[in-house]
Amino acid sequence: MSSDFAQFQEAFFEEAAEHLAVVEDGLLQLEQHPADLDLLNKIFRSAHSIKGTAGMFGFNAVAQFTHKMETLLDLLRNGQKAVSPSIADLLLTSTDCLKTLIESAKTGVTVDNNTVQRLTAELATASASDAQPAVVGSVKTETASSQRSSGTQTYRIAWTPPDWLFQRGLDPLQFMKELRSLGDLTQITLDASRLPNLSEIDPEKCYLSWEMQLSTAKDVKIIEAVFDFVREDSVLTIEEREALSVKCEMAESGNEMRFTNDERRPDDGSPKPLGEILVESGAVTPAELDQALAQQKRVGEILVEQKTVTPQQLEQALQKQRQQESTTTSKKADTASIRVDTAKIDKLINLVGELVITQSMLSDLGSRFEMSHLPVLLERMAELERNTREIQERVMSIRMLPIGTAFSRFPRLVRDLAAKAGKKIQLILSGEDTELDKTVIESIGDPLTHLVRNSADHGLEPPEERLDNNKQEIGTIRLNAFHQGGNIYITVEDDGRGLNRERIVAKAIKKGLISENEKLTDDQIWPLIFRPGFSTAEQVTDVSGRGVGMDVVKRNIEGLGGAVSIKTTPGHGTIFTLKLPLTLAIIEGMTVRVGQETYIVPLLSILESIQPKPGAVKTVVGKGEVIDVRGTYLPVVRMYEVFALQPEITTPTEAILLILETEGERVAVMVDEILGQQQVVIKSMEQNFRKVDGIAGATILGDGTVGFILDVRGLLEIARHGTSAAVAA
Amino acid sequence: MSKTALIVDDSPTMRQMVAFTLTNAGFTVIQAEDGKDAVKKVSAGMKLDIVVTDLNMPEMDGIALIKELRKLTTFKFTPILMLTTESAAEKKVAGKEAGATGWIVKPFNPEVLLKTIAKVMPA
Repeated sequence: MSSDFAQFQEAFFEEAAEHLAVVEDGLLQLEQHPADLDLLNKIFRSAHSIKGTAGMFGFNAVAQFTHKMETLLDLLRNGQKAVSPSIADLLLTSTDCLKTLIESAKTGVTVDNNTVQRLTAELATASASDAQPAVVGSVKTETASSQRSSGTQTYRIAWTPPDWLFQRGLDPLQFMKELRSLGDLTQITLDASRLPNLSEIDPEKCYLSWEMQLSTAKDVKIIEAVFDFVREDSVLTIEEREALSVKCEMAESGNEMRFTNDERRPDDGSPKPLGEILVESGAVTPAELDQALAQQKRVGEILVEQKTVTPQQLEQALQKQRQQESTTTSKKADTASIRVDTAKIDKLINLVGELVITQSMLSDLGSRFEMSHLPVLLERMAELERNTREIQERVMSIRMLPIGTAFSRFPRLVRDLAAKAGKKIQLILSGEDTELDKTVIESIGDPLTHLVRNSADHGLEPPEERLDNNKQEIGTIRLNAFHQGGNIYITVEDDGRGLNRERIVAKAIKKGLISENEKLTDDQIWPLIFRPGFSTAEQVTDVSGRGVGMDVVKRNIEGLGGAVSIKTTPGHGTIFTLKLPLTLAIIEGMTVRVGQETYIVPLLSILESIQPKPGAVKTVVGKGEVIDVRGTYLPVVRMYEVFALQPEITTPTEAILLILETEGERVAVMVDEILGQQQVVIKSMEQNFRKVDGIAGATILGDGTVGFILDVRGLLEIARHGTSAAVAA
Repeated sequence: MSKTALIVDDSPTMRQMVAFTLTNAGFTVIQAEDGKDAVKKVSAGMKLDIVVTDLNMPEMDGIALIKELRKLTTFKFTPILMLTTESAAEKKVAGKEAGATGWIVKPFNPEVLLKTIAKVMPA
């Protein structure tokens, strides 16, 4: 493999992912517009690009498979084949397979070869009229490696180049130089007999022929290779002249041409498996080898047979192995890079330049400062502030990507879901250009998928039911993204049957989430579906209801510092709204004071703050302190106890209790005072210090001191298990 | 004076690889992402020593680009190499007819790239 190019692999994977998206998206559109030539060309080009570039890195499985797809695509775009649903289906499945192949090239995880082979065969059948054998990616050296013949040979070369020689930027001298690099070039004679009269000469044409003699140790094929670009259009004869005795100068090793084949070998030089070598040498047939391999037992099986380990022990060990495999591969696949528009970087560089100027002006001012310069100083400070703010904004924007990348998987998903469930669904995307932090985009994929699945599976009714209810036969799922007040909103909307109040209440009672006589408003009922283990789907389908429920959606979104809300109208549909922060690095926080310390509480987790009435806070044996908030008892956490501080207030009735919520659980946290609200930049504790229970991170406050950001989840744990562990930690 | 090369490919990865190899070999490299971009970049009367172009590209493909370049006096005799895949034999012929000097078959390694360029570049 060409090691020089290996450094570009990361770029290839990124590019391939983009091309795959184009192919997939194009194929989906193709179903609607089977005759769209532009579309076909676009798909073809992307596939072609993947093929060509994959080959450069020796990813031959990828190149070969893409070649098969490309062949079929080529037939389609040339009109030799028509786009049929089955062909579109095949191409889509093949795209999935190609994705796995590329993933495998990236992470080294093995691919299910059966699928690849089956699809390869299917693609070949679909493009049956194509007679071309698949040779792409296979190793073809352009010239046989120099098989040294016993010694130096002398060749007579007669060459009449095509008359367009000059017009294509070629120079006869160049050929002779190259020949000379192969050996000793002598007796060059020019044949100018074809030269017409001066008046008839086209100066751009070549009328000349040459004869020459070359003494070389190289193979005749290498001599021919010199004329590679013109051979088909030239009159070229290369004859051996053994009889002639010419002074033989061995080619110096310096101008020896080496056609190393190694770089093009698909594998990386690791030795071949024994079986392969035996098959190649003809000692065994492939069938015999397969048979032998089938008999081969795995270490685990042997150990079980010998009763060294029990099958249970083996299963456990295997599970552990799989886990390790999956974690290592996912880690590998996660090495993230980001492509940034050069314009953004240029702008940033300019801004940094301005910052440097401002800084040097300031230090100049500082070195000879007098009180009279104060206005200038203030002016410069203002400039510095502007520079900093602008740089901050620009740097943030580097991480911002249009959300369209997260949406792009849905047309395919919805198509497959509709086909599986026998429903008719149209998907409408809007707001794809809304920009969002890259990490957020990557993390909302799964929750969004779940919501879309949920809408397609549970929300939308089958066509007959829709028609019975005077609705359009085709159900609609709408995905929309937009900015509002420093947040991003993503809505997943369907025009299906809506949530069923009775069913949810019944289920919640059955699960013991609410008591039978509890009177709940709609807004209290809908969030119940986000509780763990809650699923009203009567039958578990292939699509949703696979144990991962809406609770995961909620947890993921909250993990990103966001929130999910539901709006539903029976018979008319449901809207799920995801509210997400613009970036993960900055959160909206409430600053609170405990003694001399300032803490930040994530604003999203605060439900309310109260000053309890006397007697509201009680101590329950085994549960510690609890507070009665409108009939519900919540655990109370005294901040000063958790973090061992000197508080100003120790009586709950004088203090402030913040009611915080996370993942559906609530806790009351006691603080001295609420200071205000501000945006804070999160600095990691783990990276700079170590993990501290109850603290999610730290930030620099306006006055330069460090403020800790509370981890609501952690506080809840502390409330549950007592503070001793936290203090000890 | 260093030689100037124009590399035209819609794949940024390919472009980077070729550019990297040529830059290391002492070339000044100009990159273009398709034929149209390339024509725009050379139309200012720029002199180039070599052009390496992909064939399959959006907007203007390699063949059209070669034809376009050969129309310009400055590019009449400039060596133009096309990047092809083995399967695209008819493309190679079309490229030759359009005026391409030679071709490099993908996949290639840096050595082959530089060798082929040396082959067609007047010293």
